[in-house]
Amino acid sequence: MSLGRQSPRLVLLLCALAALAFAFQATSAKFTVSGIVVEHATGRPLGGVLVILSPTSARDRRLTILTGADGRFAFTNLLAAKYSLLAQRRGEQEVHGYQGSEGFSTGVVAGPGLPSENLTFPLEAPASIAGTVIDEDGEQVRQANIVLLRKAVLLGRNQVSQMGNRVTGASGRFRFAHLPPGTYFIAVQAQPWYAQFAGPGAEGAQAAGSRELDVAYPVTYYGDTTNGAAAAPIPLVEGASITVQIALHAVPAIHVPILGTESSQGGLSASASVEGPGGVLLFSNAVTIGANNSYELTGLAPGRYIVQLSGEGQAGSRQTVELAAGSTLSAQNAVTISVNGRVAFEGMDHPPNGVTLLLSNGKRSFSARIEQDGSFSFSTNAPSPGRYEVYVSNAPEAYIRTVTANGAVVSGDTVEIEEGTSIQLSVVAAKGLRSKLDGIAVKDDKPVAAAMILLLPRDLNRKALIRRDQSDSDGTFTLPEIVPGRYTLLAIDDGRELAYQDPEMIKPYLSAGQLIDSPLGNDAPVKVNVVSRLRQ
Amino acid sequence: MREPVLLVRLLKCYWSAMRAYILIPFLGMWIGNVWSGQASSGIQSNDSVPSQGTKRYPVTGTVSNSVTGEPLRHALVRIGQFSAFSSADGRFQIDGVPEGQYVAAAQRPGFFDPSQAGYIATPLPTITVGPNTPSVALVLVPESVIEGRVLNNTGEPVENAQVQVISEQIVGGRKTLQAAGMWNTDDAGEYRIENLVPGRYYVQVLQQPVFELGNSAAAAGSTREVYPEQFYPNAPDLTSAQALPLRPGDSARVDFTVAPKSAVRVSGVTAPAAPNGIFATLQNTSGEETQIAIQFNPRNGKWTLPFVPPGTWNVVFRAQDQPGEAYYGEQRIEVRSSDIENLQIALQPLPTVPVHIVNAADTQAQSVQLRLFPQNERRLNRQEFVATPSGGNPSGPLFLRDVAPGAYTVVTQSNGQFCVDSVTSGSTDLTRDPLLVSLGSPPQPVQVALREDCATLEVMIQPQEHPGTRTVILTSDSPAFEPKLAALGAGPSAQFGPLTPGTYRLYQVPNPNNLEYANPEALRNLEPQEITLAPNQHATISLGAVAAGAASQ
Repeated sequence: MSLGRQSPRLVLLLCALAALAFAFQATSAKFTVSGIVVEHATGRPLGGVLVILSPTSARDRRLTILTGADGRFAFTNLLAAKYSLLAQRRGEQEVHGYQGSEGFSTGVVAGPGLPSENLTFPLEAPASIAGTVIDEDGEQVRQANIVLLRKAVLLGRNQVSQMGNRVTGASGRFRFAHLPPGTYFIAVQAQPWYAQFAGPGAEGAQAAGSRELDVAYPVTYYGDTTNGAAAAPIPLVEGASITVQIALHAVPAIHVPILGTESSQGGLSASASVEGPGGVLLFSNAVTIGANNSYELTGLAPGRYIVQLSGEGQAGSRQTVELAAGSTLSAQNAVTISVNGRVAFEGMDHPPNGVTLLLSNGKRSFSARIEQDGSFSFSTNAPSPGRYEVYVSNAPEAYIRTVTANGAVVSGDTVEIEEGTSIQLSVVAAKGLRSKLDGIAVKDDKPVAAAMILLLPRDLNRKALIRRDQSDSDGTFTLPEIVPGRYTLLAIDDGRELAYQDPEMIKPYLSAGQLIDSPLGNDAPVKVNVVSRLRQ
Repeated sequence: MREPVLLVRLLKCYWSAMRAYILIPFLGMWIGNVWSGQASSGIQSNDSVPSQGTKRYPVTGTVSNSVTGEPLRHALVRIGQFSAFSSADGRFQIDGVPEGQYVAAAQRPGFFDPSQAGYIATPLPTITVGPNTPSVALVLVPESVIEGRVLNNTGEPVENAQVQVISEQIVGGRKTLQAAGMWNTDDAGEYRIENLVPGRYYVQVLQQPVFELGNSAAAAGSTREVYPEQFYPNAPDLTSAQALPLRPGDSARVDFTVAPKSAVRVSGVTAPAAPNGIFATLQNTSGEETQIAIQFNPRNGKWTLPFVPPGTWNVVFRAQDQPGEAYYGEQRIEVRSSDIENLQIALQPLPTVPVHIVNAADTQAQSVQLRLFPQNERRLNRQEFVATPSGGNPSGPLFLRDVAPGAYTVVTQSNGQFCVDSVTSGSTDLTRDPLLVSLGSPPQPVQVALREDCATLEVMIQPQEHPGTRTVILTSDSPAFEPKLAALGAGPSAQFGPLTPGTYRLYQVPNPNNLEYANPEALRNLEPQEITLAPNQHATISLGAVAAGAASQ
């Protein structure tokens, strides 16, 4: 089921009263949610774990209990209801859902004849990656920035995403704990402690020894490489502790004059990022120095950078460049992306108040206000290159019917924005209330818990229309905010790490799905048969 | 089923990644700043552009560890604009340095330059480069470290416990406590606070809920446990804590064992609602305050303190409205085992106390400085109040603004031709008694009476048996008198005045930096010279030579 976003503060205020009311009702109830918390890999009972139970209709009425040394917990005298069951280890920030992943879990339904007791709640043993950053002399590097990346299927997409960052202390050490199993990469960015960068025009006047100090460390990845695409993957299994070492090598820093900056009266600033594994942009460093309208990039090791210039008259222009000693950069060459267009709202006199157009790809999103005449322009926050889904937000009664573009390839509601292009988007939005879909996942007519439920549009490229849930202990599920149209409803027994946003991955399942026209004519729950996960 | 809680975690994860993105640019700037800061603080620049014909000479020397005397390799040595690394034996050579005077400095991670090494700070050496440039012996002071583990009573590591290091510093002759570093323990319960200058430190592990996320929002009456705050060594509060003395290069190990204690939930409402948010602190019976987590709804003023440990507390609320006026509210509570609900907290504006200067032809504000020092010094980041003129008019009347409730020592200092005759608030003589500020009844205006028949005092030191500068400290019996300092070299004298007629004490010390000279107790072991000044007297006093080091702590 889906819950609207509420102000956490308000929610907290309500909760004292609500809990009181709940406690009173509970006196007439007789159901129990109980079980044992165990370590996933070993089955060993886990004591001292906080187990949190709340009815899904009022999630702020939280009951908490600590597991005993035998790992057992029991909430008794409960009303018949659907409950959210969560667990948290002592000292950890993470809260784990029962059979949960990625924000979905299996709700536990307590009621006559329903299995809500003797549940097994496995928690994966936390894994960690620790390491040391050293320089070419083998000395520890302080103040190094470490970024941990994980390659995984996240919300149905196969992607590399940042998991966290650390700064090393005197010992040059860093540590990432409570990591889920998976494939990781590590990127390190640092400056030699003695580095001193000469300013523009300082070339001839450099004093003795200065050249030795005008050095930089290239961004370095685990696997002893400075090439993001060649970073060595670190496989991490449940409960593992891996220790790595990364050595940095200082190289002469490059000085890249920025040409054509005469008009930059208000000052110019530049930042340089690198492309890490999976194309993730890393380390946006401020790297300009200069005065009197003469600027240069400084403190960088030679290499490939995405340079973003900003300043007066330079609204976030960007260029991808290979920089080496002797390179120059032209402010005029900077590539800008321009995206604008119009949204036609069918069946409405004018666009709803406050409606915005959103370009999002799960990792980044950019928004632009839709004016009263339907026009919009990403003038101040141009999206960076990539594939984005198009959404209209702040308009619950409107949904996107079609997206077409001049200057970009569109598939479904996904637009592919390339560097340096000027794109004219035409969007048709139609009026129609979103509806929800209640259902039950079954196999051989018996309810199936923990199945991945997917609602897929006929055009698999219209990713903004995809809905997902996980079936609860009685097999029930709820898909929220469904835009009118024709869909395939699918239930898969094991949806973990399934890249369902990829049409090629999901196509083999479609024939086993069930065609649904939303909104349904009635409110009766839809029955859907659970299919087995295909092993590719 | 969709879990909003888990989704929040997922988003948080993105957010922390985003933060990395935002923070990193500053690092480059920081590195640049540290560097330029060092360069400008330590190095003279008479060497900027050597003229033609300027003779150049090599400069050689060594870099060593001030504690062990061991040579330091790969230290960066700077003589003006010129630099070189020391080699494996700690030696360096910089060629082609134009003749002249330079400050010599060395730098290496893990070491302080002696001019920055806390209480043992000494100036950097100045060298003369010429035909007979002497070898330069540079030392670096190793940093000190405090590290340890936080375990619970069953021996499990406590993760994300905040360990705070508080340095005891003496500023203007008064002891103050300043936060010097904070570290969150890792999943093994370990922390390590580096980069500490030699000095005295308190180490504290802050109060932490045993289960933060799950329990802070749990229903009233739920079990909720906290690891209470703890100070080294095994002390429940700052009053009973001990400072840890750290010498250069020390690596102190401070382990904590914290036992869960059941806490309760305290809730209520403030009036007015404080739309800009609110801070809450718990004040213990000895007046120490610690900040505590609060859930607050700015629209209706409802608040909840999810984790209040058992004990007697004064809950203190601080807020600020849009024009910047400060509000304050407090409530005494006895926490046992059950939740406390429906507390009504009246937020009141903090009092502003007018300061009147009387009995002088020229009552210009800047002729008198008046400051309030809280009498309870055992407080982190202790707040002092300075009387300032109102509304941008520098010579306008003075006010002490937004003074928090408490007892204050009033300290005055007069400039120009006047001296302070009396400092009063109603019938309270503030030269002897503290100024008491409470919310309900703001104190009477502070009245500073000036007089013109001031005395002056000229101090001379007899010829020195030992070289170096001496500092003369002038104190009085009145706590309202701000001690005056004068540094004396060989020969010259120092002039103090205008001084209120009365009895004064003079002390002579080699270095006042680490001396709590505003505290009469701290001066007790020193031999003072006493002098009584009559109205309009212009006295001269000659201080005897004191053996070197006699006045050091």
